[in-house]
Amino acid sequence: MVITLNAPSSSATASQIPPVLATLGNSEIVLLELQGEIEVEGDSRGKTAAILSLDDDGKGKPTLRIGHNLLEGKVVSLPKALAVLQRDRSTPPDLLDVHGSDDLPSLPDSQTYTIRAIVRKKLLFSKRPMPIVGSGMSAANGKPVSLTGRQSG
Amino acid sequence: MPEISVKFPLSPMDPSSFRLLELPPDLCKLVEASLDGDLGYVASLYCSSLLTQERLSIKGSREEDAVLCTPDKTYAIRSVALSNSVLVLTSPPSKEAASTDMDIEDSSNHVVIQESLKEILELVPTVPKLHRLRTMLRGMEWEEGHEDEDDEFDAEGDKQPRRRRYTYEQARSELQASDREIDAAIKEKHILVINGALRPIAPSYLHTILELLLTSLVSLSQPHESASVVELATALESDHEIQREVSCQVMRWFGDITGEDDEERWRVDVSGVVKQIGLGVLRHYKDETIPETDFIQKWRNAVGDTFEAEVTMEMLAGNYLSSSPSLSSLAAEPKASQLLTYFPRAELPTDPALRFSDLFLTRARWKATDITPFLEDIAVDAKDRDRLLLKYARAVTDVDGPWYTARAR
Repeated sequence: MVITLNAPSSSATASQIPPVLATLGNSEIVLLELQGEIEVEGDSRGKTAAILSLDDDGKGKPTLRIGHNLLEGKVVSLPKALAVLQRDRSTPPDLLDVHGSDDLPSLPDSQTYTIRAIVRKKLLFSKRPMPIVGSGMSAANGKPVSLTGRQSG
Repeated sequence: MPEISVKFPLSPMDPSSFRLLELPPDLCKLVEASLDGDLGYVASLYCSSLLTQERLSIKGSREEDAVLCTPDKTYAIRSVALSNSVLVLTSPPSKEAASTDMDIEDSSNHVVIQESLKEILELVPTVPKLHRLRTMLRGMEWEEGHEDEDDEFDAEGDKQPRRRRYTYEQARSELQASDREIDAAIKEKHILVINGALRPIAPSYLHTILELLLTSLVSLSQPHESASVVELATALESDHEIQREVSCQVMRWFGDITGEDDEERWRVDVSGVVKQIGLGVLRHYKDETIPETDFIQKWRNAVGDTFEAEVTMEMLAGNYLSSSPSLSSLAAEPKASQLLTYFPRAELPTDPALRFSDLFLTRARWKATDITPFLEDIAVDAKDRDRLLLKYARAVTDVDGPWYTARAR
């Protein structure tokens, strides 16, 4: 079986992330690394999981507020670039195939992935969260959101 | 300090639709070229050869470890588990941003968690996994006098199990190797492509054809730097019933063909032909030995006067074992030469552990210079080869220098 990795078609670059995040190197995808997982009680759809603060120029320490926890992080350059691959949902007739240049047989079980971006920097939040006391800083939409995971540094 | 809300998606996302793939620098350049070079990319839409050159694919059946193939290289894919989780954040999907009833003014300032990943994929350069080719093509040899049976083959791809042929396209989709590596293997392993099907040529038949080509070069007084393809092919077809398709492919394996149609000229790869003829002679000494001097004489006779001077034993490295004559024969004739046996590395297992166990079953200990030719095809480079030696063999040094022996289990 063959899985083809496609370069993105230029029309796919429609939605862009907030400009401040684009200072990390690409305009589509940001990787955020955390210890543990973000968990939310009940239905999580559309809920805010965290508030990310980052300086305009991409310098300075980024912070992440998850419920009543504040995490301080840093921007880390990756030793090797990462390609972010996304599985193409229903293997639609590939744009490229229209030109009759496809010499790989499109088997029914064949999958394709699109390289969405090449990422060179990530946001790393590896420190212990600091509790935020007092002040009405409850997470948006009322539901408590918590960070679970190992508490080792 | 701008604040960005990190949100869960409105609709549940397709699980495991994202993957992180670590790119070695050379591969990164290749991918970037196809990502950034928008102009070049558009241009390539109209040029199929450029397009296929940019393709990356992941190959493997369910039982195999997947590999990533670029147009000319193969990388093994290893999954590395992360202790942290990596969130893939993107802008909200456009339709979601439009239909959402909350935070519309805020939509430019939030990102959506697409997926939380716990692994990344690492790539390690690897040798192409072409050993299956030999098993898959077993019993499909193209031999003298057996050409007729090929009529059963349907060029469209016969689905019937009887005498099913293995096609070039199948090889490309099933073998864990890049296209260029497959093409090189087809040439190196002397596999004919007849009506799209892969047919390894029988070694004895190849030997016959090469000898005929060499004699025809002489009899037609064609210069070996630029021989007429048409004349040679015609001579082989009319005098020896060797199909033109076959003789032309053989010429391509052993040299370059330039020019077009009737003007095609064959520039003979002299050392390639001489080596192959040497192998053809050596092949008969699998179970018995031949003194090196006798073998070289036979080999010289087989290649003829023109190429006699090309003959050297180094050409056949990795295809023979040489052993010292027994003490009794040395006593009879003190200058007796080394004894050779045919021992082709192409028939050894490609798995390093199996390869080494085979080698050490054949001989308990090896000199470094003797063993390296038998490792060349399973190592990416000299460093990789030394790593294999370190892992699977034990080095012992005595008065004759270093020896390799099997690692005690």
